[in-house]
Amino acid sequence: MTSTEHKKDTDLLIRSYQLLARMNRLQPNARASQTLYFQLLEKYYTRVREAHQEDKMVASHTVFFPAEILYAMDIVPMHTEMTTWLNALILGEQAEVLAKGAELGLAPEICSPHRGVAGIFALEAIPRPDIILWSNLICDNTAKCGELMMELSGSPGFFLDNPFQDSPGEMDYLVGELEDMVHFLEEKTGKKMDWDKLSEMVALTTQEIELHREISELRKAVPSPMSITGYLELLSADYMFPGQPEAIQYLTQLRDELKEMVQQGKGAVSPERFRLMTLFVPPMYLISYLGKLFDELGAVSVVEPLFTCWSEGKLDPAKPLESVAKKSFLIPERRSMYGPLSQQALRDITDGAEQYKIDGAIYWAFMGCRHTCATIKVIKEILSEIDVPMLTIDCDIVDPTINSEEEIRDKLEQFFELLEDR
Amino acid sequence: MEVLSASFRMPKELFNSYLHELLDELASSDITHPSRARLMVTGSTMDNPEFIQSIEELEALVVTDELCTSTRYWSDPVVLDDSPPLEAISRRYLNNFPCARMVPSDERFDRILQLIRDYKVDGVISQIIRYCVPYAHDLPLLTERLKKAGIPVLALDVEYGTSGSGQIRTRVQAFLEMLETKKR
Repeated sequence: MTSTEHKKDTDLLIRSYQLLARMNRLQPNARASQTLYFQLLEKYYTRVREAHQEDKMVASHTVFFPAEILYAMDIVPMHTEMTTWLNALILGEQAEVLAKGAELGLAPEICSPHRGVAGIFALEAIPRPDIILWSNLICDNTAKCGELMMELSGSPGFFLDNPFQDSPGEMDYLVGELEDMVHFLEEKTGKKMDWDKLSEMVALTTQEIELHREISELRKAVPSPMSITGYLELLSADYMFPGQPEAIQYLTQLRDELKEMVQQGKGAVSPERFRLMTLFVPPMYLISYLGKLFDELGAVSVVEPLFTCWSEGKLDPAKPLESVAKKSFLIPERRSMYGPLSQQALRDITDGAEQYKIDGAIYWAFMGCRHTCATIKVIKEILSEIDVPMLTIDCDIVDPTINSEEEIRDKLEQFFELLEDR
Repeated sequence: MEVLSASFRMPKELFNSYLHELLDELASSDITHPSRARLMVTGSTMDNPEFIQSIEELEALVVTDELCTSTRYWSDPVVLDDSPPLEAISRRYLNNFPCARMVPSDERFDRILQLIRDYKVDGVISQIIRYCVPYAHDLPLLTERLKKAGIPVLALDVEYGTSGSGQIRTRVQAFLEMLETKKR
């Protein structure tokens, strides 16, 4: 496809979400929260597409970037990794996007989502952002992808330096970094930060984290009410709408549905045979397949301690910038992907195994993520100490040429046989 | 590379005395090394002097480098002033010849270009240890800048301990032939 043809990708993406939401509504057993999720994605990309017509700037940012600041400044955020992969997966352009990254000279050991980010910028398959924002949270791929995005888009950029530890000195440093970023954005957009708006978003973020906790609690029920297809939705809510009414609306809807199911004693799969802990994320392109497979085999992912369980800590709307900084220390993924793997993270895994009554764990070993793959041995050992078997599946979260559906089925079936024999 | 490898292992006082001897010897020597091309090696760590040796066996001369275990190690000493020693060491870590992990990459690229000018480099061999991702991310940006400066680049993905044999030797040979053609 040519660049001109790729420029229509955002339109196609929006239309795809419209269609998915409509199809979902017609299915008798479809979750209303999933329909809402598709509608929110449609809304997100419509905003991106129409930003310039409405005289707004689009800021492309890497994962775990404090997009609340952008919303508070009336800048339209575009989550780089999510956008790349939603585009590629929904439109089936993964191979083309990765090939373009390789053509730019990016080595295969670079994590595929970030090779893809470069590819999609080069293909001009996403709207050209006005500003590039990136950070070292969560890995050296996020830290290093920004300059190439700047070069490919010809847009100015800002790098946000996140410290590793949650200490008073490092917190002050991060607040200083955020202040610098706000100044940079004010200068580039000619708009002033609306601190009251940011305070409101901090208050909503507290509510959002509380909803996440409630959802996690509901998933402890036997049978557990949420299918693995909800996993990526849970992640996307904060990735795309942090501190926004949309995230609250989605999470409230999901919470209410799960509560009702728990009250009725209904599980996501019936009968529920295997309760699983998911470590890291399964290949995104296989989520629908896994949903069906888990349904068929009676498996349910009940907890993802390193991705959906937020750390303890309070945000204060009266101190909005400090709270945005604090939130970055609470995000679940930070525990295993940024800085040392803490004793707390390991305790969360073993406590989660007990509290969620898991039968086994699946570690989706994304080969491009050195940070998480380095933790496999330690996690396998601590789970083994409490007699929980762990299956490790080598995979790539976006490249469909690495695993076939049949291979995944075989590995899972063998693992479930092992669990059944215990 | 052998001299630097020794510096990592030997007591510094002893190493420095030998290094002084070597420097005196080099200063008084009139040995020259005619070569097909003057090369710079860039990238992450290199723990195997045989890699350089094999390039030089093809009659090229590695005149400078930008490796973690070479130029980046010795080029910017700790500034000894009145500040506490830990502060002086920290300042050095933050301000020395930047590793690719530092953002922005401009200083690293500028210093590479400066070395190329200072050492009259004809071509660059980028050797990146597999999974040293920051260097892999920088490579397209660096290649573009070197291209603008008229400096050809050979990019090699290597493992720890890779020697310059087999496929690598063939690629280096082809690179040297290209540099020779360019010179004519």
